[in-house]
Amino acid sequence: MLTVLVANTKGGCGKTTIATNLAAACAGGGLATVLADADRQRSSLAWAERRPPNLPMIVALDWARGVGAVPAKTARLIIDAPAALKTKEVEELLALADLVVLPVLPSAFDETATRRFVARLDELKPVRRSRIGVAIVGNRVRARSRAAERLDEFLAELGHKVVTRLRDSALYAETAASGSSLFDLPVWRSRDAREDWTPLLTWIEASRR
Amino acid sequence: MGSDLTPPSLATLVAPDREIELKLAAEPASLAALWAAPALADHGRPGPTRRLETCYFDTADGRLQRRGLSLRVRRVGRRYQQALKAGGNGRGLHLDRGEWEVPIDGAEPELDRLPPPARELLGLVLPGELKPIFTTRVRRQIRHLDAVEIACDIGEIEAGARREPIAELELELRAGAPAALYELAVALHQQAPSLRLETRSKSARGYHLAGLASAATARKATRLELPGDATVGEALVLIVRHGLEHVVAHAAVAAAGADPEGVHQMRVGLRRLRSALALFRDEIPAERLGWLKAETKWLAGALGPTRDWDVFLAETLRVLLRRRPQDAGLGRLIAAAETARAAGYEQVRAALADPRYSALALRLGLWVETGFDDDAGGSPRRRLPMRERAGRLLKRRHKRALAAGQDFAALSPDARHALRIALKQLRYAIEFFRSLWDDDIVAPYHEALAGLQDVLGHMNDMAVAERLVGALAAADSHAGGLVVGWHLRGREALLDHAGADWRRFAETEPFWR
Repeated sequence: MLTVLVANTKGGCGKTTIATNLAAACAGGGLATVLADADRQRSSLAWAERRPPNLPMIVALDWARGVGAVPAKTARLIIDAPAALKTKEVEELLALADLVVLPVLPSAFDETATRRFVARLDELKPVRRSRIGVAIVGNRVRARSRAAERLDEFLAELGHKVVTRLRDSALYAETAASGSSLFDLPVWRSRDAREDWTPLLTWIEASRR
Repeated sequence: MGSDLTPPSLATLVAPDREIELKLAAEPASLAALWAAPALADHGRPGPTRRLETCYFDTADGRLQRRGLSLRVRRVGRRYQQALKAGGNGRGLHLDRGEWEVPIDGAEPELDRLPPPARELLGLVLPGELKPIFTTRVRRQIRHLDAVEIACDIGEIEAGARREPIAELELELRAGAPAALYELAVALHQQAPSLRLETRSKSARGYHLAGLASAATARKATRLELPGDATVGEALVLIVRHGLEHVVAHAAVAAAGADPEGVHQMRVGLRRLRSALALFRDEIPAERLGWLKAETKWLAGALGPTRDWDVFLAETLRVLLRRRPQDAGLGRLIAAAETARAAGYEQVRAALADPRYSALALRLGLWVETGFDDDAGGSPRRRLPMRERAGRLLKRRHKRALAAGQDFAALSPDARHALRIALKQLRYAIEFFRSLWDDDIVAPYHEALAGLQDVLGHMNDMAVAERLVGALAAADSHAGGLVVGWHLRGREALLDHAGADWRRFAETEPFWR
C-alpha cells in the first residue's frame, strides 16, 4: 500500500482539490483507493459522498477525530491533512505516509508560514533520511508568470523545487460539485488540465520501491 | 531418461499466476539440428509450431523495469495475448515469477484486463504512457512432457535499429517440483553439450539491447538465512544453493568484461561453494564430492588470472597514476597490463562457453533441488539439528586460524598466505551459520575477523602486484620500480596495523559457546 499525505501551511491552498483528484486518478487507474479525511471541515468526505456510483469507487474514511483503520487490500491511501497542522498531528500522519504532497497557492503565498512548515518537515527524521519524498505543487499557477518565478526562487532557497504547476481551471470547481474529478471526465475535455498532473503522478509512481 | 507417464494431479499443478522455467541457449543452427534429431523424440509428444511476435512496453521513465516487471503483448496469428511478469530478476538458475496472462483485443496493452494483484504491482500508468521498447519475433515449437513443457524459440530481438538472435529452449514446469526441470536439462545437455545455461530473460536481453538496462536490475546479493531449527540436510541445500546462485548470477557480467565485479563475485561464490563442500563432506556422496571439487577448481582457475589483473589495474596502478599522471613509463606499464587483462577476459569467456560450466551449474542445480539424495537415500545424520554441528565446525576452523597465526609478527609471506586462507574458511563458515545465533553476539567476532582480513588482503594485493610487474618483463623497469617502491612504503605501516588487528581477533570471545 502506498500512502500519500496531502498537507499545507494554511487554508485555501487547494489541499482538498489535490487530495480528491489524486484519489480519483488512482481509482481510475484500477487501484483500490481510500481517501481519509483528517480535516475537521470534512470537505473530502463530503465530496466522496457525492460521488456517483458509476465512477471508479473510492472508499472514504472520517479521520477528523484521529487515525483509523484502513481496509485490507488497499493499494493507495490518500490522506487529506488537517488545515492547521499542529506538530504532533504532523508527526503522527507522517509516520503513516510514504510521500507528502504540499500545494502552494502563489496568490495567497505566505512565505513565512511555508518556510516554517517546510523547515519542520525537513527536520523530521523520516524526511531527513529521504525515506519520505516531498512534492511541492504550485496550485493555480501559470508557468512563466511572475508568481511562478517568485515561487521557484523561494523554493530553491529552501532546497526544494516544484514538482508540477496546476493551472487554474473551471473544471476543478465543476467536477468537485458533483463528486467527480478531472480524471472522470473524457480525456478530450480535460486534456490540458490533466497534463499538469502527469509529473506529479509519475513522481509518485517512481518513488515506489 | 524414462519419464513417469502418470498425469500430474491437480494438487501438484503449478498455479496459473506463476511461471517456473529453466532456459538453455545455443547457436541457432545447432539448436535447429537438436530439435530435429530423433533423440529429442524421446522427450515428450510434439505440440504446435507458431510464429510469435511479442512487443514489450514500458513508461518513459522505465518504471516497470526498475520494479522488475515486464509487460508484453504477443500476436499469435490474428489473436493478441497480454502478459505481465513480475520478479523477473530471477536470482537462481531457473526463473520463478508471477505471471498474469490474458487475451486482449488489439496490439495495445489493456490494463483493465489485469486482475487486482497484478494491477497493484503495476501501479498507476496514465493513458498513453506506455510505449513499445523492443520486439521479439520467434518461431516456437513445443513438446509436451507430463511435468514439463519444452519450447524451442528461434528468431531475434529487435530494439530500434539493433538486432540480436535468439535460440533458446525454455523448459517450463507444469506440475511438481523444479527438480524435473533440472533432470531434463541435464539429460538434454548430455545429448547436446553445445546447450548453455541461460539466466537472462528475453525481457532483460531486450532492455539491454535497447540500451536501457538499469543498474537497479543488476542482481543484488541476498543474505543467507538459515532457520534456527534447520537440520543438517536443510542447511546443506540452502547453503549450496545460495553459493551456486551467486556464481551463476554474475556470469553474464563476467563474460561482458566491463565490470570487474562479475569475475570477482563468481570467484567469491566459488570459494564459498568449495568451503561449503568441505564443511559438508560427510553428507555428500563421495563421487559427487570429488567431481564438484574438480569442476569448481577448474572454473576458479580459469577466472583467477583475470581477477589479478583487474585488481592490479584498479588498485595499484590507478593510485600510482593519480600521483604521477605524466609518467610515460607508468603509462606503458598500464597498457601492458590492460593487454594482459584483455587476454584474461578471453579466457573467462571461453570458460563460460565451455560445456563444463553449464554441466557444473545444471548438475549441481539438480542435486540442490533433490536435496543431494542419491539412490541410497540421505544419511540419517542429515536430520540432526544444524546448530550443534555448526558450533563444532566453527570451533575447528577457529582453532586452525589461531594456529596459523601463531607468532604473527614473524610470519613468512607463505605462512601469511596460509593464514589468509584459514581466515577465509573461518569467515565463510561464520557467514553460513551466523543466522543460527543472535546478531548482536555474532557481530563483535565478525567485525574483528573482517578487520584483520582487510589488512591482510591489502598486503596480499601488494604481493600479487609485484608478481605481475615481474611478469610484464618487457615493460618499463622504472615504472616497475615505482610500484615496488610504493609498496615498500605502505607495507611497513600495514604490518603494524596488522599486528594490532591480529591481537584484537585472537582475543575476541568465540560466540558459539
